[in-house]
Amino acid sequence: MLCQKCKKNQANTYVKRIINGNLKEYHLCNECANDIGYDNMFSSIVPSFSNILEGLFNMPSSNSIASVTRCKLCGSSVGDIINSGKIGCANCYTTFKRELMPSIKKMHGNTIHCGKGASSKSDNNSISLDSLKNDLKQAIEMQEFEKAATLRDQIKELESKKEVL
Amino acid sequence: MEANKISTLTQSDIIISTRIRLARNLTGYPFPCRLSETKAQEIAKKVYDALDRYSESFHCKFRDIDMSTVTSEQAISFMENHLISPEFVSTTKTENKKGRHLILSDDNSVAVMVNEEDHIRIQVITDGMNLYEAYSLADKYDTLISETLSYAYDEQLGFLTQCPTNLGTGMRASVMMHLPALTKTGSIPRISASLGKLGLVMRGFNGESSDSKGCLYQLSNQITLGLSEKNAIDNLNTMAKQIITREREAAKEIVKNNDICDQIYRSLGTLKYARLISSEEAMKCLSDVRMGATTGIIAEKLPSTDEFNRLLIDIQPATIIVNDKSKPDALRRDEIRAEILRNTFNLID
Repeated sequence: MLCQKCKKNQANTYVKRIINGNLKEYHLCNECANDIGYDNMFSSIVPSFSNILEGLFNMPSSNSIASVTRCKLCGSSVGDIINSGKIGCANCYTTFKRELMPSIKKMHGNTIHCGKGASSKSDNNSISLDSLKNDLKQAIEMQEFEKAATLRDQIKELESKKEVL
Repeated sequence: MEANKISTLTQSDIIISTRIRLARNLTGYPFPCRLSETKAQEIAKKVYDALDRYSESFHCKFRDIDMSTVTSEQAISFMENHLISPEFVSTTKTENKKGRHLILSDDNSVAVMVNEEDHIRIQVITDGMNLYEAYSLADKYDTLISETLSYAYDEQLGFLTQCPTNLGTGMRASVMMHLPALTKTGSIPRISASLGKLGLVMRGFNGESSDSKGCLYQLSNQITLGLSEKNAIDNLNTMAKQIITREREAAKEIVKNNDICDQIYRSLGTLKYARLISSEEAMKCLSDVRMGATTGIIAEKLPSTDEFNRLLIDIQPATIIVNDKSKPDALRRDEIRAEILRNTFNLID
């Protein structure tokens, strides 16, 4: 389907807007969507926090709710983060984990770090996982299937440990 | 980008430069968007001390530049040299409050921005295609800084950054590519569109805008979470090589066209004889002549790749102002630019 705005590019962004209770839907291409401001990386949170509250319950703004959760370290609320597009401090990632995770997953297609660790904790689960995955790939290429199976089990074990964390 | 530690130039006909950037934040401080000036200055001092302490093992000295003390021309010139980001310049003009510092190695190969979007942004900049070596150098600085300072890090999310698009490795690896033939054949949008699937992105020169000055593009990794540094660099390296091959093939074809050949020689004429030239025109002419040189269309002797790369920076407006004591206005800058180009291109004969 072509973009409804420029009618040139392939539409790949689906925009749903609720204005005064009326639902409108658009199919746009990346460029047109960016042009009209749909490049907010927290778009997956925005509707649930502002549109729904404002639109459905007719609330003036999410800031007026008395019990807004704020980060203990820097004082940011989810609203602050959405409005500025910036996380306030490292602790916000813990405080607002539930809210942030869907956006993070959408951005990277993944939610588990793989690569260099902080050098103070150099046990480096992630690096060993990384190298195991590489070994697995090589083993499959070389058709060493027994080795591949062992590696696969090791990777599974490490990954399940990570998920528990 | 003068004397670089990493000097082996590879693919330098097309790859102008390589850059690795690592985003890091310190524990115990809010991210820069919520940081007071006092704390920001405190961080700047800590980072400088951490680097300075190891200056012997790095074999270089570091300069600590408080961005609120430099002129806006100097700041823009740093940007034209690709040492700092456009964002780092713009806010230095309006709100000097944030304790922004640039810590620069004496050979300009390492530039650490303090209190930009993150507390620390380590950047290693080299000529040509040097992803692996540039990364290992950035990694070394990173590790040494982490011996004195403690980074905000999470087992699951990796290095924690102010913008979640940098979570994980915090690494942005990029190569600046000169792609005149692919630009002229209209292939860039198609290539850009296919890169997304690989977690890569290609942008015009100096960041976001899609139209590119002088056919220069920056190819970089977009995904930082769930992909190790090595894998991200491997992907970037593979894709860059494919684009290089396509550019070379396309260039070979289009220079057979007399229109293109004419453009190349006209541009050479302009560079050799013009008395006034704007930076846009100069960029365009340099791009044409560079293609003429790499495809062997221009038979006469031309400046080296290094000199071409240096010119791309030396002809930029703010860099001209910084290098010339007379505070030249726009017209005088066009004169100076034409002079720089004439001198470089005529001395070759």
